[in-house]
Amino acid sequence: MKKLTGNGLWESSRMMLFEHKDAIISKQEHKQIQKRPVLDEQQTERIAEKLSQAYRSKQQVQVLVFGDYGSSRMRGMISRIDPQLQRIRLGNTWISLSDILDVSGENERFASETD
Amino acid sequence: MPKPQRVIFLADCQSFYASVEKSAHPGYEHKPLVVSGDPSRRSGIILAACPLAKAYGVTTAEPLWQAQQKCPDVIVTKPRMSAYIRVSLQIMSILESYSDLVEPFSIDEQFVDVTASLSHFGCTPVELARHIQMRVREETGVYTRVGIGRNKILAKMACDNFAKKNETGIYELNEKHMDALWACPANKMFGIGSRTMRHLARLGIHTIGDLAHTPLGELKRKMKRYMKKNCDIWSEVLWRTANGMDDSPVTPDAFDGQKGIGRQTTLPVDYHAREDIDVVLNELSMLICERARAKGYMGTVVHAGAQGADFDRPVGFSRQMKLPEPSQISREVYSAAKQLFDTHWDGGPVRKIWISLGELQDDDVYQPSLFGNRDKLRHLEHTMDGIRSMFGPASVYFGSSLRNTSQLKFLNTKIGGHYK
Repeated sequence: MKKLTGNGLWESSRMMLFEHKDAIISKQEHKQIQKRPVLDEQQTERIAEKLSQAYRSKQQVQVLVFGDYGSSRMRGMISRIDPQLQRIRLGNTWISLSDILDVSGENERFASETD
Repeated sequence: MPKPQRVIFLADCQSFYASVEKSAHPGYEHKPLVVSGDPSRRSGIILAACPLAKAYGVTTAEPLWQAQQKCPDVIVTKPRMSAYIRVSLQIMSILESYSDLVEPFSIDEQFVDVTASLSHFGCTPVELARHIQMRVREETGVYTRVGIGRNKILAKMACDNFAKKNETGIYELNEKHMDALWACPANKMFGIGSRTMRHLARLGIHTIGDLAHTPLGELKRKMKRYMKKNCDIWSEVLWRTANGMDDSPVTPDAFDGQKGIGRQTTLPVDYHAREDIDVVLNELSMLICERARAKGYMGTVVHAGAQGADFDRPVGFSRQMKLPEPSQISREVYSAAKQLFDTHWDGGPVRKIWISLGELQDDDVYQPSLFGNRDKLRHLEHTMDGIRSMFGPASVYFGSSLRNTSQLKFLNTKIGGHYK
């Protein structure tokens, strides 16, 4: 019956190298829109604390910034904290606090990757 | 409201591997060129020939020496499979800029459902096909032929039987042109090989039209009587194909998730001894499990098989068995494959061997075994993975691969049996 229903006719006769299939799968994964992780209170508190500490001591930091197609790392010095609009200025860009998933020292690893 | 009629394209790349090589080496543009497998192995056959080489009578799948006899000046290049995969994905991306419904059918053929795209681009199917053809050529150097139909089977047959043969490389197969399709001999139909054609000829069916115009009930009865078994599904597939009937959707997520992880190899010479076969089984198991671990999968079913040495008298087997527990451990997959060979191998010479691991599940839930030393094996293989990812695939392997029947070195440098 398989051949007469759904995509069966083509599934059964498709000729694909597994490396080709792998490449397609990883291409599709890159396209997928990421879900924003929910941080718990401890995590947000720790992030806030680290940010203000780095701001006060004028230390370089590394932040993990959420993006629809995967998060990215940004490095720099925090030059301003804007409590009104809930954002920080890192180097030349404003980053919304709600997008910050993690903060660490310049050459440290993020707490979320220490496993 | 009736559903709007679908418009499906099948875009097929002409002499794909050869075209990629030609655009990579502009100096060869006006010279006959073939891509050939390794002549020192049994894969030394023509994988692709450019139209100039074909004009000399060179055909795909003939031995290299034969092609060189027909065309002494032919330029011979080695396959570069990963380059072909890259270009195939590039073409896929181009097609995806016209529709989100793109489904690869092979490395050089892709289906596109452009039903909703046509009004957006404000053009006819043929105009859109011409545009796509131009863009793919411009960006990759590959010439595509586009079959157009209201479903996938018509698009496929429009491409194979007409678009590949006409000047524009574009052909739309619809109700008005069915006679042209029906006039073709039966073996020009998708899904009919030489063996099926012989069967059908015995039933008095010689053209696609003969098949299409036989009432389905009668076809089923005739096939059953001739084949001496129930062939209802097969008959219906053939009959629907001949009549251009196909509801299958263009499925872009056909590759969502992995269904199985497998590898096969054609041996350089026929293997007769069981211990030689075991060496290769062990290596295939190792490679499969390495991939399973890298992708975070465990499998429950091991499938193994072998093909005999005689091409004309196909012997061999292909059987599967269930594992006691989901696994990604080479030793466990290997021992299952060995068991399958113990039971089903007839002792004849072996030309080709394959293993795959199926019914995959995520490996985040792992069941430690009460018996045996599973954890130790798992740890060992993870460690081997780490070494290999750092120092290369040949840095660590099982001792059995030191035997001269080992295929590991060969397997590590190949995609689909050809150079990466």
